[in-house]
Amino acid sequence: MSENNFPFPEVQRFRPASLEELAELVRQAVASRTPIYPIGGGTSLRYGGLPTRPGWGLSLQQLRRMVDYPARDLTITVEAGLPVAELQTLLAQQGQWWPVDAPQPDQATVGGVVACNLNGPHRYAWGSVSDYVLGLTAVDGQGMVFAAGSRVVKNAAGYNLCRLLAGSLGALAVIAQVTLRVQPLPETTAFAAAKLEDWDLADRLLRQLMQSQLLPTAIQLAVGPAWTDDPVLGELKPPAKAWLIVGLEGSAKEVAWQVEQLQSAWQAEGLRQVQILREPQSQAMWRRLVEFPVLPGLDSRLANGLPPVPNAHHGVGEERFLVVQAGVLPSQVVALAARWVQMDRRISVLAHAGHGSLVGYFPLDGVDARRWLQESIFPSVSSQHGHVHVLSAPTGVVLSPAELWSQPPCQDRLMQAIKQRFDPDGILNPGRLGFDA
Amino acid sequence: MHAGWAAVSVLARKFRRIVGWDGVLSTPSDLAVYECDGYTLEKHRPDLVVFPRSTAEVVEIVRLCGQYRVPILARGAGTSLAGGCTPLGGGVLVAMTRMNHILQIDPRNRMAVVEPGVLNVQLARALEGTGLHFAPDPSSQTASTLGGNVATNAGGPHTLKYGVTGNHVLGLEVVLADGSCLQLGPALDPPGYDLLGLLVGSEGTLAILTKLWLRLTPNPQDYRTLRAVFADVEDACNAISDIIGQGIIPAAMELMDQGILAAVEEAYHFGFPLDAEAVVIIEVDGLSAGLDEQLARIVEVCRRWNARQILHASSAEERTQLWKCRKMAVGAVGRLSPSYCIQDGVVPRTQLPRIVRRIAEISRQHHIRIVNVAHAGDGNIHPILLFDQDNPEEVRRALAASYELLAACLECGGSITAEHGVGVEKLPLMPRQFAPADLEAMRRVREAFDPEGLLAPGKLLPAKPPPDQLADATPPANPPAASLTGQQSFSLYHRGGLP
Repeated sequence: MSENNFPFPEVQRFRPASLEELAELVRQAVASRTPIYPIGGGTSLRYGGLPTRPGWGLSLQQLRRMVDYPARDLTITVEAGLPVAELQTLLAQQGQWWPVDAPQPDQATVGGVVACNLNGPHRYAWGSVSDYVLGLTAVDGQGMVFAAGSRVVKNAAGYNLCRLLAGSLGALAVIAQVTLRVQPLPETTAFAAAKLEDWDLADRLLRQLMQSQLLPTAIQLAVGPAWTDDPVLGELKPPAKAWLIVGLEGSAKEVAWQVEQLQSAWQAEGLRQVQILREPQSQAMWRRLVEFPVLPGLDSRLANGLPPVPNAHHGVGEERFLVVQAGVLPSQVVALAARWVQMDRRISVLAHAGHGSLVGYFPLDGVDARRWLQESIFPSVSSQHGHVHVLSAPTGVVLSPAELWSQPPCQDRLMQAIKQRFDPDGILNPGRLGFDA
Repeated sequence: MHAGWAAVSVLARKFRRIVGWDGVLSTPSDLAVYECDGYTLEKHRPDLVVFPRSTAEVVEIVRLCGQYRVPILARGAGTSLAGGCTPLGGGVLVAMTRMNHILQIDPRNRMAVVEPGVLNVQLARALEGTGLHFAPDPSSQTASTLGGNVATNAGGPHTLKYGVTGNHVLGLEVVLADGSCLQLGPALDPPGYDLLGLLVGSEGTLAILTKLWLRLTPNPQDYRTLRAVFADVEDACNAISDIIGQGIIPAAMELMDQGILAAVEEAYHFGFPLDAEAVVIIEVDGLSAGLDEQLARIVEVCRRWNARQILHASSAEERTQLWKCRKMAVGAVGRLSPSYCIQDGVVPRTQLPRIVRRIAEISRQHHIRIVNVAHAGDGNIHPILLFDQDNPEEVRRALAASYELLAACLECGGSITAEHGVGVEKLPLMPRQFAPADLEAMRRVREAFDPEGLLAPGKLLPAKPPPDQLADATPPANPPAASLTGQQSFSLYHRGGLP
């Protein structure tokens, strides 16, 4: 990826090739009070707040070795800068995978994915990124190297600091090495997708699904112009409101049985437009769902290191978008998705209906990002004890912590206290999680 | 610093105003019941035991303890096998057993909302007929509370496929050390630091849990259960690793060694060959469509590793029958010895043969009989040490053997506890498993949550080493809260550790 994409006031970039070099760099930064911006593959640099002070870019891309892979233990230890795609290739050779959804896996690094702890469609059945982190080694804001967790799948000794660092966005410590829990690769995958013409039906089908004996691994509701002419699914034109997309993984027999069950259940509901996607189409569908939060065609200026997709099959041309993610209870998903798309016909949503998470694209032509957030998006979840955060905003849109997060981490007393103890000088990623903003 | 007995009676009176006359225990004979839990080798009497009925009462109790600078330890059913409920240095034990209501069962969101004192089995019963269950089922489930399960990140035989308690907690309401109340979740993945993830397994040192949002799991459509007898325990361990290597994740893989088999046989006459070194129970569950295929592959692997007898259940009754020997195993141990200690360690699954050999050596070395059950699929061993608690020499040898076998787990790349937690028992081993910097990182978390050191002082983390042992020492924390009556802390660690 081009370093020009780095939106930070970067003075100098370092590429430590060992844990010792990394720790030494952090200590030098501590001594000179220079902010440090850890960089993995650079795919999530627009997630979180903008950096507040010029500092050093600390690339982890030289730290990319596989340290230990006892495949029969279902664990692997790798350095943080290993790209996710390379990790998955290594694992696939043993019939295994790391069941997390990382957009742009060729660039995204394992450490970066852990530091962001952003989850996609697989979270419903497989759990979160942090559920798959067993141990790690990191350097805190004073240059202290510490390890957390272990290399075994079950460990109850002390606090689970892996969970603390997962999602900490590099603002507590720089992750240098991780031990991951991995899983056997499913033999096959398929999708069943249905066009739905009303929200009540969507709600009813989801309720049925949650109470059936089926074990889908993703339950998705896709709404809006990004899905009107989908390369895999086909057209979604009014009066159709949404795609219900159910992902199935497992042995050929398990998948076949579930496809049959879904087909007959949906037939009984009078659904006529049902599609079944099998391999290799189903693989394309997984990629489509996982990549949705960074759809390059939706905003070419996001420039996530990918060339912009020139065609307009997302139906939205060259508009600029604010991309947000919300967390609510699964039963609230349909109502929230419906509420969002009713705000503006240009809004697109992918809802992870099984576990209560939604990603939405809000157009910025005509509506200010601040107005979207404060007048429409935040109020849409506040009555449901949900939360929202901005995944990315186009260049030039500068948002404060209170605009980036419905509950800004930097305003939480406990999070402040933890930050203060791991990074007393505030040199780790200042501004990114709202601290030092 | 020590407030003494006068303060105890003042506090007792104030607590009674909050929780009622019957909500406080203060006489020595009442308190004696609470001086230990399932780990009986170390005892400390609390100064008072309080039984709140609501979050609001917990808040008031914690505030009062803060005013008087008295240590607080929350307790569920007291089934910990590691001394998790042992009040080191006395203080106030907050017993959560009266907060025992199931508040909501929400099948649409696959969620149950409960108070922390609800028993694991109580929730299981309430869920009958819903098609859902709460996956964590520690062996203590008929007695242990859900709050205790969360506080210790409890496991059980099904964690191989379904994960530990931490994978099934959607939200928590907690009371922090300063008496403030905090709700995390139940909407998933809030941004920022994962406080929920820290609280699970924190053994009462970060907060008191007052409400839990738990994830429910659909019941499996079907099961296939198999029991294989192996002449050689290493063959059994290799079979277990190979099954995983084949890409099969059974719901459970339980191993019992010759010693425990002999005890089970003596007690219940299942008809196990007494020269067999291991029996393994393997269960796969899920969609019926996939199970026969998995079972066939498992049988093939067991045969390849020389299993001499393979039985599988073809009905629910037969399944219960196959499981019976495992469920009754620990009870049978009582016939072998007046006292026993169930240890909890974990190794990488592929190291099981090595640790089994080491345990046999340690048993010989210390003249302590050790029999084994294991959640072998996870590499989680439960060596059971047999001794006589009234014989101090045997107690000493049992403790030494315990220490050595947990150290052996670390040598195999494992951990000193998979599911029982640190409690008081494993405190001396924390510095073996973790470097000073690792412990320092944990200490910072604790100080962030509880700067005054009121919650479970002395538990979970060993005392801070002298500053020169740390690369970067942080400013010293406030002195820990003192016991009301000035009892001396008496943990193994403070005695200078075991041999």
